[in-house]
Amino acid sequence: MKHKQILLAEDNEDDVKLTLRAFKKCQIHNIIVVQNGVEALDYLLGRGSYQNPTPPLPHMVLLDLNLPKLNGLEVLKTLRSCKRTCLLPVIILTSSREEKDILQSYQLGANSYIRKPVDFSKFKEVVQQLGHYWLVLNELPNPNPKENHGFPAKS
Amino acid sequence: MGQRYIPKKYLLLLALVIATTIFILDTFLPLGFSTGVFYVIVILISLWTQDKRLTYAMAILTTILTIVGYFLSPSSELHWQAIGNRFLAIFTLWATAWLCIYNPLLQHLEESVAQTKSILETAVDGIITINEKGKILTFNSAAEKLFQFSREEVLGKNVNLLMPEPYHSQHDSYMQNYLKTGKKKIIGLGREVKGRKKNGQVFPLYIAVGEAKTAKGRIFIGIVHDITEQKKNEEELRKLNEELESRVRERTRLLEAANKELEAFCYSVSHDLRTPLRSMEGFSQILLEDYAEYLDDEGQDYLRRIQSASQKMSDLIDDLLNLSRVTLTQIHRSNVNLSKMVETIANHIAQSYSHKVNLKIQPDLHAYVDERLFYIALENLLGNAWKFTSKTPNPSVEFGKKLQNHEEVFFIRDNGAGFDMAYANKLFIPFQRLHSQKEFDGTGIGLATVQRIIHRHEGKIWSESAPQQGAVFYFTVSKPPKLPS
Repeated sequence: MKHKQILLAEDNEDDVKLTLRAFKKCQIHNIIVVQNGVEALDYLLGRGSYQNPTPPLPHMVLLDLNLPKLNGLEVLKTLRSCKRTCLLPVIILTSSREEKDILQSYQLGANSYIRKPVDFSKFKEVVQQLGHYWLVLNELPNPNPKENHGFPAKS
Repeated sequence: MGQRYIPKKYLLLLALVIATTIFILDTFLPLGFSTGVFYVIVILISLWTQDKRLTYAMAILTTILTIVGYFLSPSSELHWQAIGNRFLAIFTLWATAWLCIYNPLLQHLEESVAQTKSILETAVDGIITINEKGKILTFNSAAEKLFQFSREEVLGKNVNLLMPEPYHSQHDSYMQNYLKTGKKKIIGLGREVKGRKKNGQVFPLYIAVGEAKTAKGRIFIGIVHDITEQKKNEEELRKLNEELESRVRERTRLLEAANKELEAFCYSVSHDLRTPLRSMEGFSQILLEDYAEYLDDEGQDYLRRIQSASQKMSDLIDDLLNLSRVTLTQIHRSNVNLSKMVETIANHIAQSYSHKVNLKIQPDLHAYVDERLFYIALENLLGNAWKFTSKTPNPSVEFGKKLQNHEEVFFIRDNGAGFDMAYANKLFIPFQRLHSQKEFDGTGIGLATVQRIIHRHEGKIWSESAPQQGAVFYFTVSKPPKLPS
């Protein structure tokens, strides 16, 4: 669990700090933070500044909806259309509880939709559960090293 | 009202010419020759004019001519015989005149003609008859008024005179076609067409055409009704409707735009307003966790107050969003078992309260409502019932239905804190609360939301209460529209 990587796409510095702290409390330290949608795609698809070398895929992506440049839904749509990332676990972590957002997220292939609680104790609990579920309990399909489509290599 | 119409003055002229011819003949022929008998023709011609006075006048004129002729004719030896002849001629003339005037058959006919004429002339609608060739046979006063032609101007003329193009040039071929094939376009039916007045003005009219067989062939009777006024009204109504429709479209567009804006606003509120709250709450928590040793009890209390205020504001945002969603959302009604819904919600609510409530639900109460919205409404009402019975011994909540003024009224009754009816009018106004935060917490938006939901179901909500004696909330919803069986 220690080595398993999480990509956090979040533009609000406070939220990043709080999330990182919550993960730290449950011994998860390997978190990469990107500030906007374009950066998230660049990282996951090995484009732009991440072109060389292509980094390994994280074990899950925590995606905010309200991101600058490309919003979370647009990022999700692109991820699902790419062979490399189409099976990657993507969890929407956002403030919105709009029916429309929830529906669209699932329609675009989100694996989960979590609303950030205002209460930090509850937020910590949520983050802990997320880490536990997606990094420990959940089984991912066996990766084929030749194709490596959509899920991270087992570590 | 004969088939062939000859103006009276021509008939009179003809009569006078014949009378003169006979008179001249009379003066040349011997006295014994009873020329006067021929004057009968003159009297008979007067019959055509249908003017009794003319018949009298002709009878008198021919009598005088017969007598004058006696003196002007070449003399004859048969003097008395000639006088006798003249008397016989005069007798014949008067007998003919009398027959012309007093013939019982003719009288009967005249009466009937007069009757028909009075009907035609008093008719409000224009009545026009034509023959197979399209020639106008009759033209009543209403038709004169309508087309501004006088009867003399149109009788005997082609009826297409009264029609604008394209009817004007098509009418003849249409009539021929009908006579040949019997294919009806208008006969026996009514139709809206255009007419043309004498001054060329075109106007809308409704025409009903009938067909009749006479000794001289078929005739067609057209009853013409001016619909200018009606058309004008229709046009005005159409314009008004159009204007109304375009206004409705414009309003709808504005409303939709406003709704969109409001939706966008709500979305932004839900997301952007909550984010700083999370920071306030979260960092206060971190301070309490990591720096508690640097803060005394008072300092820690302040941090907790920041935390609870943040949470409170978060709840407010949620409730406000619920309230606006209730107004903006589309409503989808169906038959819903409210009793079951109350049970589900009550079980859910009971988990967040420590006191045990005695719940009574009248089973299988159904209503025609939007399930999602009604869940929110009942959740609020039952939540209140639980909240306000939290300090009551033996708390109980009841859901049921009763008839009040022939209307089905649902109610939720509790035996909790209740409220003073003097403030009942503030109950459903957003942010208005009848209890202090210390007594019972809350945002003051719940009942406003409930009321909006009930209003969206075309219902009413009201309550009865007294302090420390519990409260009853009554509500109604409209019935489902009756389906045509």
